[in-house]
This record gives sequence, structure tokens and C-alpha cells, in this order.
Amino acid sequence: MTINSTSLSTVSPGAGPSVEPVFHRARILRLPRSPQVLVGLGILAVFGVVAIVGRWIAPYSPNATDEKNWVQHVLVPGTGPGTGFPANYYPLPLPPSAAHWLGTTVFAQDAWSQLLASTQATLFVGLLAAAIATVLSVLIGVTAGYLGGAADEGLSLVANVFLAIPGLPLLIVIADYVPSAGSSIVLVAAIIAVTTWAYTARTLRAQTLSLRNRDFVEAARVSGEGRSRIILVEVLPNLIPIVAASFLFTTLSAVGAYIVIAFLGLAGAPTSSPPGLWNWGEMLREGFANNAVRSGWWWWWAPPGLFIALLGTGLALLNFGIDEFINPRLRAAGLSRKAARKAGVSRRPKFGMTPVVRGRPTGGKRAVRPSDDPAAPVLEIRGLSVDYGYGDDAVHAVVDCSLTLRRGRVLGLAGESGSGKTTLALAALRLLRAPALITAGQVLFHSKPISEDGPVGTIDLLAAGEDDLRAVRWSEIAVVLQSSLSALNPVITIGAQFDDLFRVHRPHLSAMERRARSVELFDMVGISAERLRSYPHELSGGMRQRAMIAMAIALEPQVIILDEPTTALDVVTQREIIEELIGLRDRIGFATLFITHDLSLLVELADEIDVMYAGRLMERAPAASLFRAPRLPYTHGLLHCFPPLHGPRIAMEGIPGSPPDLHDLPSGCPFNPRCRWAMPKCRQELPRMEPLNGDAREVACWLHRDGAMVPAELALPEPATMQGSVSPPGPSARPPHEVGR
Amino acid sequence: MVLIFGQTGTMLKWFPSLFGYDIYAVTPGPNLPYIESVVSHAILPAATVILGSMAGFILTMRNNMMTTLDEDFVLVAAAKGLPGRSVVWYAARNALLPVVANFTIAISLLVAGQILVEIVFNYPGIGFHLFDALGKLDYSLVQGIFVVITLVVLAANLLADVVYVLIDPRARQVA
Repeated sequence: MTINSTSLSTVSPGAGPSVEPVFHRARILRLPRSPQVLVGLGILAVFGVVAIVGRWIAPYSPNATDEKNWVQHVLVPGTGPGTGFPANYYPLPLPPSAAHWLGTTVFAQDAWSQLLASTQATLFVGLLAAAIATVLSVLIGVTAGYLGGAADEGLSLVANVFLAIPGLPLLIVIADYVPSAGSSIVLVAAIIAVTTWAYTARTLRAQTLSLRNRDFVEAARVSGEGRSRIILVEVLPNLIPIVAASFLFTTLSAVGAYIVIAFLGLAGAPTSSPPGLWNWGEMLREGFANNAVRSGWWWWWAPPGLFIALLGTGLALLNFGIDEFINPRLRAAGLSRKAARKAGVSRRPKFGMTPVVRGRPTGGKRAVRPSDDPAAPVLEIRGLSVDYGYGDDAVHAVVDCSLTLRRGRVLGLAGESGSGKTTLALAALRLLRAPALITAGQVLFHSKPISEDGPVGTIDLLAAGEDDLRAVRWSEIAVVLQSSLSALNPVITIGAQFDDLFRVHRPHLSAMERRARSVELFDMVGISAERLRSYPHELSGGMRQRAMIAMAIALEPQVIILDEPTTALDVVTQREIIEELIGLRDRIGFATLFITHDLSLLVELADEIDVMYAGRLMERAPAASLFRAPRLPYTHGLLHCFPPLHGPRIAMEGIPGSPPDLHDLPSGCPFNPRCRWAMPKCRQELPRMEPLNGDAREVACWLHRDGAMVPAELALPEPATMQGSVSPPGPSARPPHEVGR
Repeated sequence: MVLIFGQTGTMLKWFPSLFGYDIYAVTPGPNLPYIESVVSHAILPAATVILGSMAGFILTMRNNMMTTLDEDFVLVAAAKGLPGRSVVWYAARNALLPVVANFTIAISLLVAGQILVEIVFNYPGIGFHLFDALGKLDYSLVQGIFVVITLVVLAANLLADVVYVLIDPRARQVA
């Protein structure tokens, strides 16, 4: 899970002025100001100016024959003296000179002037055709998409018929059938438009279909707005980026089509009657017909070719900009690469390897035998900080977080959406994607494989090489994500996804053994082995999550990170899955980092709980202590969000306000604006995690420091039974939370 | 752009750039020189068509890859410790789907795009004959050619649908 942009932009009132209001409708087309877009705009602007004034700045008339300089002639082979035929001379074109910047054609016409004059008609046809095609496609696409039913069927049929007809042959046939087409560029543009509108219409129809069921359109409909008003005011503005992108694309293909028609001599030559207009295709046609290429008269055919390529480049660059606007992922990728360069992150962002930038060098692999203490730390995260973005724009999603996961234990990590829980866990495995950047910390993995051989000793995952890291991933530390549908590859069978795993990490297993092991695992989580042949979409949500869990335990890892594994499931399935997990944990003995926003779930599952807020760890305590006697106001608030099913009635308080904007954190304690007990000090100084009552728990809150008045709600006595849960357990193999229940 | 490729090729004379085979040196039929001649005559036009139509596919594929790389299952693939190549393949398999869907439309454009290439290279293909027939007002030939083109497009659409069902298991259920 990356930072949820919606939760970041909804800010508590009065927060920084830099935050723009977020409108869910009427997205205005604002192009990103990347160099690409600027260059594209520049090229198009130059073409626009040339198209308008080209006629007047051209030094000669495109049709004028330069009699004075037309001196080069060459004898046509097979004519002249001795052949019996009268001497016949071909003119030779002049190469570029001061008088003719781009030389002349064989007819001694100035190529530069022709080029300038040609731009006008070429662009005019391109733009006009694109405009007609866009209007057609918007009308038909949006109407079909919005009205649906028979209108949709009929209009879609028309569009599909036009799509199925190959455009260019049709174009050529129409251009050929309409005798006066050549002289009327409006007609040419119309013909081109008729053959190109269908594709855009189809895209727009699909987009309208998805828009018409959106909340804001529904709302407009309910509020009684007229149909045409809804289309104009609600639907169309959201289609603008797509319409703009397809307009540019159609312009380019219309220019291409016009050039092809002209090249084939169907658009009317300037010399014919009635005369056609000069255009790039016409120039190429004349050049090609007069052997300009074979004779090496590059000044004749290369410039129009170059202009076509330039125009194409300009339109394409601008389209990139619109693409990035439509698809923010592209923009993120482009921006982060640039920002990374600016911030001096030299390492090439590599997929599945979050870059680490930190001052302190660390020692990589150390040959320390992990202690035999059954509850020794297995995963230690020390001072981990993660930024999204680089330099000044960076969002500090995780700041200086330390936590220790002990062998065979369950460590809960709780917090609101966007508090950085998932970021913290994925950063430990370096799985975060760009623009994430690990800026500080250490992740020590004290490996002592449960079964098969694996790395032994302490590995700093942030310093480890790619191969070392890959060996640890899944084999020793597995991850179960929230949504199992998107976590399974939709196009290959679940069995094949198990197979992958064994092939990479257990290369010595034969195909039969791999299959047998998969069946065994499926048995363990209570799914029939036939399901191995299924594709993810053929399973229910609960089954998919079980399959994911089966996959997680497949290699008997020492640590499993469960990132809200049950959030997407209904309560009954949730319960089953949790029990499944507890059973497996008891059998295999892996340690678990359990991430959730459901604190009450953690209380019965976890040994110890860490509470996270705005990217920082704020409280750490044994589960029961945290539940019965929270010390942090935020934890207190979280606990009072869930009604208990048993026991005395208590008032639901919840937490006022909304999660903080990581771009613009309040000074001092990040929780202070929402805290009912906030003191002046809380607004000035950031509290650090410090132990409270010995080593058993830590809290980052000024209320517990320097003899401040602790509110009664935060000073409840520790529950007696759970006092010993952080000390190493006795010889009993049962995990401590089982004892406590 | 097609023209530039075509004409540069003409100048370099690496490969023959006119006609479907060497009409002077070889006899049509199942003999080696004829096949060689046909192949070498097809190289330039084919390369032109490929280069000309490749850019669009590359762009679509790039956009799809960007989107797919953000999916959870790609993250899981990386978390599974699969080597980088496999991870990219996981994503690519999925990013390919819309491209294949687009291919059906592209086929009709490709058939059409040949006309210019065939004329530039004087290649005796269907586009060349269509243009020729138009010029000579041979309308029955024009109609015939359109029937052939339509059949090819239909067949290609069918093929693309079949391939799509093969590579995307989710499409199989609907049938």
C-alpha cells in the first residue's frame, strides 16, 4: 500500500495554505510542465506560425520558375546527335545556395518556398479533419455511452463497421470517386475524418459508460438535472483529457492520410485544373516521380520528410504530457526519475529493490550465531526512515522506527490508514517502489532456518546484495497482503504460482515433489487440491487468502508479515483465517508481524503491540497492557472506537479530526491537534519513545514525562496476568498469548 | 516516414527495392533462387511496415507496463524472491493483454498501411493492385480486393480473439 493520496489531501481545517481543494469532477486539463511537453509545444507553435505566415515569408512563389538560374540541363540518354532522335534535355535541380536556401526542384521552383507554402494546407487539413472526427466521435461516443440501450447498440454498430473497414483503402477509393476532391481541401479533410472517427468514439463510449455510474453523475441525475445538462456539465469535462489526446492523435493521422492521398496524386496537383494546394505529400510526390531519391537530390525530398517527422514528434511529445495527466502513474515515474537525479540518488531505481541512502555504513553479513534463546529477536528494525519523493518535496512516511520481532511471537502494528504501517513493513524487505527511498536505519535479520537450509547468522537486509536479499525473501520472510485478488497473478494458475516459488528457492525438488508439497499445503489450509489448477478469479475471497497463506508458509519461513490479511473479508471468514493462522503458527513456529487498523483483533492475537501515528511509533506495550491500560492518548482513542460486545457500557469517543497530512505535520507531537490532553509543550517539542515502568513498555508522550499530570484514563493499572509476557517464556512450547487467553 | 525508410533503402541498395522478385533472373516456382529472390525483395517493404507500426505498440506496452508494475501481484512476485527477469515477465504477461486486444484494430490499419509501402517499393501486393485498379477504373477488381481485405481482417480478428482466450484465462468463462 502506498500513501493514499486522498487521505493526504483531506486536511484538518486551517492547515497549510498550500493544499489545493480536491474536486472530484471537472478535472481541468493542466499539463505537467516537463521539458518534453515544452519542446512539443514549441515545435507545434513554430509550425503554427509557419502555417499562418508561410505564404508571405516565402522568398518566391511556390509555382514560380526561376528562369534566370535555370541553367543546368542534361541530355536525356538515347536522344541527340547520332541517335536519330532530336536532342532532348532534362533540367537538373539546383543544390542549396544563397538564392535558393533549399535548392530548387527540376522545374526550377524554390524548394524552401514550396515547403513553407505547403505547411498551411497540410496543417489545415490535419486540424480540420481532427476537429470533424473529434466532434463526430464525441457526439456518437458520448451519446451511445450515456443513453445505453438501443441507441448504444445502433451507434456502436455503426462505429464498429467503420472500425472494421480498413481506413486507408476506403479513403483512397472515396478520394478517387469524388472527382472534385482534389481541389477542395475541406472535402479531403471531411473524407479523412469520416474514416478515422470510429476509434475515438469507441474509447469515449467506454469512458462514458464508466462515468455515468459514478456518484457525482448519479447525484446530478437524482437532483433532477436534465440529460443534456448532465452530459455537458458532468460528463464532458471529465472526458477532456481523452478528447484532447485523441484530437492530437487524429491530427497526426489526418496529416499522414493527407500526405498519402497527395503522394498518390489524389489530392489534386497545383498544376492541375482546378489547382490543388501545395502540401508536403505533393512535394514528395513530385520528388519521387522525378527520381529525386535515386539522383541524390536530397534537398528536394528530405525537408518535407523531416517536417513530417518533426510535426509527428511535436504532437507525440504533447501527447506524452496528456498521457501523464490521464495516468498519474506515468507522471509519478517520470517525475521521480527526474527528482532522483536532482537529489543525487545515483542508483538506478531497480524494480523490487528500494534504494537505500544513509550516512552510516553498516557491516553486511556477520557470522554471529544467533542465540539459542527461543524468544531471541528474529527481526530487528532499528531507526528505519522512509521518504516518498526526494529532496524538499519528500514526504517522510516513516521516521525513525524501531521494533523487535521475537522468534515465534506475534507483534502487532496498529494505526490509522496512511500512518505508515505497510510502508514500514515493506521497507524492511526493500519492496517499496519508486519514489520510496530508505533514508536511515538498519534491518537486522537474525536467521536460524526452521527446516531446510538457508542463511544462518545476522544479515542487515538494507545492506545485503540483491542475491542475498532474494534468498531471504519468502524463503525466510514471507508477506501476505490485504487484497488476495490483486496479490495473485490473474493469468496463471495458482499451482503454477506455487511451482515458481519452489523452483526458485528449492531447486532440488522434482516436479512431482513440488506438486506433492503444494497439495500438502493446500490440505493444511483446508482447500481441495483440485484448486491448484484454478485461476485466481475462480476462487472466493476467503479461498484466495487461504491460498496466499498456504503460499506464505510453503517454505517454512521464520517470519511472516501479515498486512491486514483479513480486512477485505467478512467477519466469519476473518475468524476462520485467523484461527488457521494461529494453528499454523503453533505448528511451524514462525514469528508474525501483524499489521492492522483493528486494534481489538490484535489484542487477542498479538503478544506485543506497536502503535503507529503519522509515520512514527508512539506506543509499545504487551497486548493486554495496551488494551486495558493505554498510556498514549491516541491509543486510548483507537480503543474507544470499537464497541465491546461484553462488559460494561462505555461511551464511544473516537478520535476527533482526521489523519494528519504528512506534507504538513504540526510542530511538536504530530497528534497534538487531535489530542484532548494536549499541553503547550506538545505543540513545541516532539516526544521520543521512552520506557515507562521498566522495560515492559514504551510511550512517546509528554503526559508521562517530567511529572506532568497524567489523566486518569491514561493511568489505569496494568493488568496483573500479563505482566510477564515480554520476559522469555518458560519451557512450555505454547506461545504466551495462548497461556493468557 | 514510410517514404524516408523506403528511399534511404533505395539509395543504399543493400536489398532490392522494387518488385516482388527479380523478373529477369529467376523463374517463378518452387526453386531456390526464386524463393531467395522473393525473400530478399520482401525485406525492405516488411522492415518499413514493421518500423512504421512498431512505435505505437511500444508506447502502449510501456504505458501498460507502468500500470501493471504497480499491481500487488508484481510486488508479491518480488517478495517471493523471484529473479528480476521473472518479476518482469509476471508483469509483462499481464501488460500484454490490452496490446493483444488492440492488435485486432491494428491489423486492419496494417493491411491498409501497406498501400503506400507497396507503391513506394513497387511491390505487387494487394494495395498496389487496388491503387492500380482504381487508376484504371477497374471497379470489379476494386470490389474483389475489398472482399479479400475484409476477409483477412475478419480472419485476423478471429485469430486475435482465439489468442486472447489462450493468454487470458478470465476470458474463458464467458463462452
